[in-house]
Amino acid sequence: MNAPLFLWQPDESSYQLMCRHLGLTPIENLHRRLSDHLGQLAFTHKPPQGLALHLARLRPGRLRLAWLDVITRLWFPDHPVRQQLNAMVALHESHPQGYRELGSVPRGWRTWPFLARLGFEYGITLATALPWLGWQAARSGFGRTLAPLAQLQDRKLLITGVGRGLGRDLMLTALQLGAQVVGTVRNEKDRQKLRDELPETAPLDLVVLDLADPEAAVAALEEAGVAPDTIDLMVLCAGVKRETSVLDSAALKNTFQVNFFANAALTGWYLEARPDGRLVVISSMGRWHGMGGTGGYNASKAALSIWAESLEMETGRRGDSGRILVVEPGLFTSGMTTDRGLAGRLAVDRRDLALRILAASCTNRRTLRPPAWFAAATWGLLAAGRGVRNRFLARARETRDS
Amino acid sequence: MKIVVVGGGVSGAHAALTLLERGLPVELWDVGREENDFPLPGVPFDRLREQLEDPISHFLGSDLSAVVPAGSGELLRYPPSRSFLAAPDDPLSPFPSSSSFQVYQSFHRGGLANGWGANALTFDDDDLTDWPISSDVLAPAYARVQSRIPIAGPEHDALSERFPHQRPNQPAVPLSAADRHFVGLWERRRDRLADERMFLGRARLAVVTQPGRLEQTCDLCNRCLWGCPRHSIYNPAVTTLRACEEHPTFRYRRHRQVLRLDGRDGRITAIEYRDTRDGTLHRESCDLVVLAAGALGSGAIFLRTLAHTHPELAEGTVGLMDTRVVKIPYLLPGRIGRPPEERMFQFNRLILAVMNDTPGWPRHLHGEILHLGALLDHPLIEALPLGSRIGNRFFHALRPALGVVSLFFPDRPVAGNRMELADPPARPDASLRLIQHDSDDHRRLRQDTIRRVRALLRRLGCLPRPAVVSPPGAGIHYAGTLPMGSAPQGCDVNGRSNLFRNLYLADGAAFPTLPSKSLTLTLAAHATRVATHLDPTA
Repeated sequence: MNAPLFLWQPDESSYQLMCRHLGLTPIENLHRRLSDHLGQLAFTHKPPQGLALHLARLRPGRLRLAWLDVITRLWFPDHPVRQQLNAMVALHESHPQGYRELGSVPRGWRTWPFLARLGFEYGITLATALPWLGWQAARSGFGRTLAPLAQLQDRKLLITGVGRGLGRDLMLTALQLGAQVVGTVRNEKDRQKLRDELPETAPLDLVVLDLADPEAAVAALEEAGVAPDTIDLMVLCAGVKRETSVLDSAALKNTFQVNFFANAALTGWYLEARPDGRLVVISSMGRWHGMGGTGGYNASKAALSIWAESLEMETGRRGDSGRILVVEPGLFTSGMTTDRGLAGRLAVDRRDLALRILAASCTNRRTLRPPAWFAAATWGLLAAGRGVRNRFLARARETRDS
Repeated sequence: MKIVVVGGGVSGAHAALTLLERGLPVELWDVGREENDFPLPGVPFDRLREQLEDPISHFLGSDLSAVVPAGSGELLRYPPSRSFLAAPDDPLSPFPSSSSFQVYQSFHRGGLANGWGANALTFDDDDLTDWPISSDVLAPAYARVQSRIPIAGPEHDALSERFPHQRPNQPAVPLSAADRHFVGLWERRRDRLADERMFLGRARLAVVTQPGRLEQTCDLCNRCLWGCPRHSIYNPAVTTLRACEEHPTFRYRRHRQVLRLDGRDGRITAIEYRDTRDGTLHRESCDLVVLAAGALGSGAIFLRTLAHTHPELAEGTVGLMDTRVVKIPYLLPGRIGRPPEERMFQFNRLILAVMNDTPGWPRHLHGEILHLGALLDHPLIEALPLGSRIGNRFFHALRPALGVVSLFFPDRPVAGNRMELADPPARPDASLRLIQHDSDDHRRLRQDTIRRVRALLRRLGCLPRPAVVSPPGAGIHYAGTLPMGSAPQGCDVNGRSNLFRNLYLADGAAFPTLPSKSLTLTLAAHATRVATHLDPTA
């Protein structure tokens, strides 16, 4: 079983947890049907927003599930756990074993103490859930932190490089938030893989294009019928990072074509049709310094950050509409792998990063550099001078390679 | 002579059979989709899961489309195995989906009668107040259709006088334990209930309860809603259309969706139809047409015809009516803790008559009392404000004590409620819009009745819950698009069109008002009466 793509889809351990919560024995192959069904459902219902979204992102636990079961029924109907538990009951009640288990309640006089116990359980669950809910509400700034994301519902986003990595997570997160996505992928194989993985109901168009040829990339979008004036937000995420010397001019040229010139060409194409269009440019903290072996990447990202800043100056972009968000992430990990080392703990989860980028794109922010400690450390290193920087970055590189 | 009956539902089947019995040749044109057989006859609902290879696909569909999503407010969804209801996006549907009127259509042999709740009641003179005919005029037709349709019910009870000309020919369907408990409560308080002006009785149901008919006897397998595997519930596709096929002059023309008629000089000369196999449009001449495609289907065909022949009259149908259904759930405390019953008739076994004093509406308001048998429970559990874990346990502990009163509210012509052409009318398959607005006095009638029934339930010792009002269109008792009367779009008392002398309206389109009682038996009787009086030389 692949990891779930959307908040609505429980993974295997969540399925087991829900079975325990409902007093059911897990049934073979049922988890896959449940997950596929909920994946389809994700695009026909209102996505969770604000505090409901905050609660939906929490890792489930037995007690948390008991709390969420009651409070989502009362106050957060858009929380995915509602659809999950409802579908759990539907599937299990259609199966002989699940039907027996769900209907197994005391009969005769024992029904009355059983009802009293249920009332007690309900009271206790609610009484303990409320302080927890208050704490979670406070943690999420009473839903305000994630509230701007509601703006993305029914908006159309163009995201480059959705085949893998951060681009893929940005696409999944945007879809989860109710946006329509036009995604670009490098080749037909990537396109087919995504189509196979994603539910048919997902409002997603995929365009195959090669950013190494910026003009052809724009032509491919036009050929696919993507109208730039219908795009509400363009996220320039695609990029390449080559492990080669900065003297390898062919590789350097290719890196700049993809990471820099393609983005400039796509932006020109977009802003010409939609002068008030909004941009998110994914750069890197590496743009602040050189790096032996991947210097081409760092140089192209430096160019990209400076280009984006210059574009903002040139077009006099101010206020809410038309601003450019430059994202310079430091250390982030894939949400799929479990990085248990120190770096894993200090890094930002890639899914979280995607959410933070989209949240920032809905606010007045112009720059995002998560995690903050990494940005501070990078600037500290810059201040320490090139000698220190060279030694430190060389050692960091050796550690990573080993 | 070519007589074409349009539609293979209850109206079309009875019109066709009556014409055949008169010795006239009949072609019945129908889309005629077929439902699959229902699996494992004899196995009750609760045991079905153990014996089916893939019970989840049977109950919820291979794509799980019958899972009712949380928060949808739906309490019931037809299982995918019952495909007789056309989806709103069905390519044959002429009614684009609309939030203001929920349309149910069927393109199956037997039409919407495939899924009716089996309640078969006759109208009395009070129900027919604004009709140009009395119940005595309908009496011979009622007698004739009751020889074709099994009616299980009591020979006589407190409600008998409300249903003149009704002759049950089968023993009443047995009551469940919860029904008997409810009747016991009623009997104990009978004296105190006298001034409530409400009457309780056994349901009159079109179901076979004793051997001796073509259909098999009901074995109480609790699967009515899921499709009766023994065909014990009357279905025109199973019996009446089969009786038609025994006549050598009958032809069943499947795959034909009639779109509009062509006529001149007050006569219909041809029918334009779509071959549903390849979507091609055709035209065929005819001598006489009996429209029985249902109040909506016939209304659509007639409006498209008028757009062609009488554009000045094609603005809309005369009216559009539907029964509004209100459900009042309640709890029978005395049944808490009792074991659930495996075998029972799944639809209602008891009915309630609420005597209404509000002028302008029929005196008899029909109610059906149902103590829950087999259902998929997840929408009901989700409706409880308790969450899935506690809600499920609570629901199952109370399940044997749960009941629901369904009240069926009558309808009458209201200015503006009608069907209109939505597309450029020149198209033979122009789509249509359904407009129905709620009225203040209908709302008052509902509120007043709900209050009275809730008070009654409390007096019986039941705990009523808030009423749930179904949206317009969900009653599936459509009527009154081309009613009997003087309007040019309507018809005369014998169903003959006021514009075309060789066109007859044999379905609910011809009803001038819509009483509260279940209308299927009267649809069959009206069609039979129209066919009896039809002039083949017209």
